[in-house]
Parts: sequence; structure tokens; C-alpha cells
Amino acid sequence: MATTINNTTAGITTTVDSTGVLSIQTAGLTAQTLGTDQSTTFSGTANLASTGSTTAPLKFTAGTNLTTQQAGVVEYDGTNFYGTVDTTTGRGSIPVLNQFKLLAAGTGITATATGTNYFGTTSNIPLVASAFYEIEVVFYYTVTTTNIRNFAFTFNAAPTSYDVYWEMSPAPGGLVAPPGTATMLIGQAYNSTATTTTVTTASLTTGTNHHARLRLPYLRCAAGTTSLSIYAYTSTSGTITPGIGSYWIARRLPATNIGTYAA
Amino acid sequence: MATTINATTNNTLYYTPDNTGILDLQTGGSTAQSIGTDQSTTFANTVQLAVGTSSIAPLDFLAKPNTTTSITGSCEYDANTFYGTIGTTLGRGAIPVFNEFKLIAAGTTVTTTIGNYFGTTSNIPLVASAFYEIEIILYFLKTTAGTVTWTLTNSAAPISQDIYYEMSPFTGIVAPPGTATMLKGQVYNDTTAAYAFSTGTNLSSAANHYARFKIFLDNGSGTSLKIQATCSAGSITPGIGSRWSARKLPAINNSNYSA
Repeated sequence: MATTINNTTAGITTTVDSTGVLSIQTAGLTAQTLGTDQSTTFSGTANLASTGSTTAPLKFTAGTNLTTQQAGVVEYDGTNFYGTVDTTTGRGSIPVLNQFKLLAAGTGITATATGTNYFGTTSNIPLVASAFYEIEVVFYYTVTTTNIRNFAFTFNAAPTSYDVYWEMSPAPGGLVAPPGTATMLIGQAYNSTATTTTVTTASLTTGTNHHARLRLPYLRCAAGTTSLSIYAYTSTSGTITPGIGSYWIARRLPATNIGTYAA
Repeated sequence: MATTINATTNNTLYYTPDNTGILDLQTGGSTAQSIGTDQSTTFANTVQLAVGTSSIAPLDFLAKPNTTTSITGSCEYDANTFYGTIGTTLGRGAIPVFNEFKLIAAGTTVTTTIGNYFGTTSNIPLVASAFYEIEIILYFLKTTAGTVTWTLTNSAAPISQDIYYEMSPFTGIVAPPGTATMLKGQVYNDTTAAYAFSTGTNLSSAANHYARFKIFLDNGSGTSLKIQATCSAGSITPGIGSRWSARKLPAINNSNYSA
């Protein structure tokens, strides 16, 4: 037998029916239903709080993904957020992009030491040990003094494996306005386990802008791999000035293939 | 007058005293939830979702039409795509969900018989009449010089597909800073069920090679897209880090646009 608490004047009804489902109605319509499985179903918009610097409007607690994928759900397993747009497509990861960008030209790098951060102090990429990542780094920079430049991508500890895609504007000349040129340089490295990958350019023309893009489409960290530093340095003289709009993006990938796949 | 249930010192459930029909749930003397006459619920603090289990998802959107006017801060789901609106100038945008597959160890060799690059049950499921953006990144070892034919096998002819393709030189990958001899090509508005092409020139033996596809797919009745290869001689060994990602796109352009 249902138990009902009413405020008929206000149009509010709270009902627990014989199945144990609690329903809350406003204006004569169900606003919330609390099921016997402790789930809450909202009929109208759920307006999340305008929270402050110490609380978030929405918080997931890491759990286990559904055994059977279900359309419309969002999940979190402590590694990634997942969404299922439909059951044919299956579960996919919702990308969360960690990033850093330069809103103004950086400080000219004059050091010939290998450990000078391209993006400045405390600007590098933190990594979770044994996790998988996709990383992209985009460089726009100016050089003074025609000379060789070096870019070094240094892990604190050697990863298990990573693949590299690198492209850069022509050397020595620098940027070519669109539609561009067929002389862009592009290179790859496969299944590297090196702690540092260094890219050494040809001598770059002074006073010109240059572009480069590094992509690690696949990075598998080892148990001790917890950071990736992006360094630049000159070979003998001159500077590299990091340009506005240089940025990096890092996206942590799911550890396993968790979707639905066709034969 | 408020109706109070289970009142203790600081825990009350009460109806608003002005009889406007708003139900407030209070804890600690303050409103935690306010349920309006439009059935919306407004939370005053963090909504902490349940720990997901193998049978219970922490958050489940019920499919519905999107709001006519996009609302800043809202997330929506129309049974096809999740959407978010970060501001009314940009309007509604799709929240990307990437279905993906990656090799964390070298795969099974593909020889002179056409086969799946990523292995058994590794291909892309498709929804009929849906739109996709697909990226395929391949690092592989060629054994015995020969050509490689790539085949994108849709289970039915697509309505249209645009393909961007790039690959390392025939001699294999070149360490950064690289070379200016990468090959790039495009296909526009193709409707072939099994689009295939050969590298044309032999790929060098015992060298690692790279290839990448970027595809816009307007799918027809197809239910899967297979990523397949065959060699004129020898084999290819799919390499660690080879991966594909597929993102289902909204069916229509449903953001804000400027003139």
C-alpha cells in the first residue's frame, strides 16, 4: 500500500508505492523517482551547484565499468571518463586534454645546456606511471644567429614504448606562407624506449620564424615514468624565442581496448 | 505554512511556506536540494555520483531532443551524441567520445592474403546513416620487399567518404627531423564499399614504415569498417602503438554560426 505525504495546496506529492519506489511530484508531475536499486531518476533539469574553490559541481567516484554497455551512460574508472553514445558504437573514452600554451613570447633561450624548458618554469608534462598517453607539442619560434637548434624530449625515466611523429618548416628558411611548400621535413621513430629523443635541426636562418610539431600518438609509461620535459637549446650561439601560441596537449588513453569492435 | 517531516535539530524536509509548490530538502539548516514546479532539481553543493559497478552506471542520460535555445553550462544527449554548451556565443558543441583500438604489442603478420591489420575483432563498428571522423595510425615492419595494398572495407557502400593519406618514404621511416619525401594523397567523395589502393612501389624490407589515414565518413547502411592489408610479397607486422580512433559526429550542424 502506498504511503503518501501531500501538500495539495502546493501541488507536492511524495509517494512510496507498494514496490518501494519513492516518487516526488511537483505541480502534479514526477520530478524525482528513487528506485529500489537506490538510483535516482530526474524528470526535469538537474541544475548543479555553483560551487566554490573547494567544491566541484559534479563528482564521480572511481568504479567499475558496466559489463553490458548502455546507451547514454557516463562512467569513470579512475583512469578515464567514458561515454556510450549508442550500443552499436559502444563505450568510448571522453578525452580530457591537459594543456599548456604561451600567451606571449617566452624568454629567449640562450643556454647551450640541454635542460632549458621551452615553455618556461614548471611547464612540463606530468605523467602517471605505467599509463598510456597521446601527446602533441606545437612550436612556433624565432631564432637569432644562423645556427643549429636542438629540441630534446626527456622522460624522467625510460618509458616502455613510444612512437614519434615530427614535422617542421623547411630548414634553413623557416615558415612558408600558405599554400606552403613541399619541403616540410617529416620524420618518425618507432617503438623507442629512449629516455631522451633529441631532434637536431639543420642550421636555421636568423631572424625568421619557424614551426615544428611533435606528436607521440602512443606512449606507454614504465613504472618509473612520471614526467616528460620539453627542452630546447642552441648548439653554440644565438637564441630560440618561444612564440605565442606554442602549446602542448596531453591526453591519457584507456589502458585497454574497452570498446565494441567488429570482426 | 511549511510541512516538516522527520524534523530533528538540523535535518528537515519541508514544503515551502508560501505554497509556491517548491520542495526544499534541507540538511544542516540549509537547502541541499530544491525541486521546482517545472520538476527541475537544483543542488546547492556537490553531486557525488555513485561508484560505478558492472551493473550500475554512475550517470545515465535519458535521450531527448536538445533544447531549442542552447543553455550555458548544460550537457545534453539526443541518443546520438553528448553535447555541451560552454557559452551562448559558441552555442552547443559535441562532446567527443573516441572509440579506439591500439596495439600494445606487435600484431599478427599480414601476408599475401588480405587480413585485418589490427587482428581478429578489432575493426570499427558503424551505425547506419551516421557520420564519422576516423583516424588510423600505422607503424609496421615490412619483411621482404613488396607493395602493400590497403583496403578500407565497409560492409556496404558509403554515401560518401573523404580520405587523407600519408606515408613514410618507400624506404621506410626517417628519424626526425626527417625528410621532405613523405607521400601524401587524398580521395574526395568516394562511394566505394571497399576502397583499396597499392603503395605502387615496393616498400623496403626489414624497415619500419608509417602510414596514416584521416577519414570523413558519411555512412550508408554499413555496419562495420574493416582496416585491412595485403602484401604482394612477404608480410607486414603491425607495430606497437598502431591505433585507430573513431568519433561519431552529430548528424546535423547544430551549433551557433556566424554569417
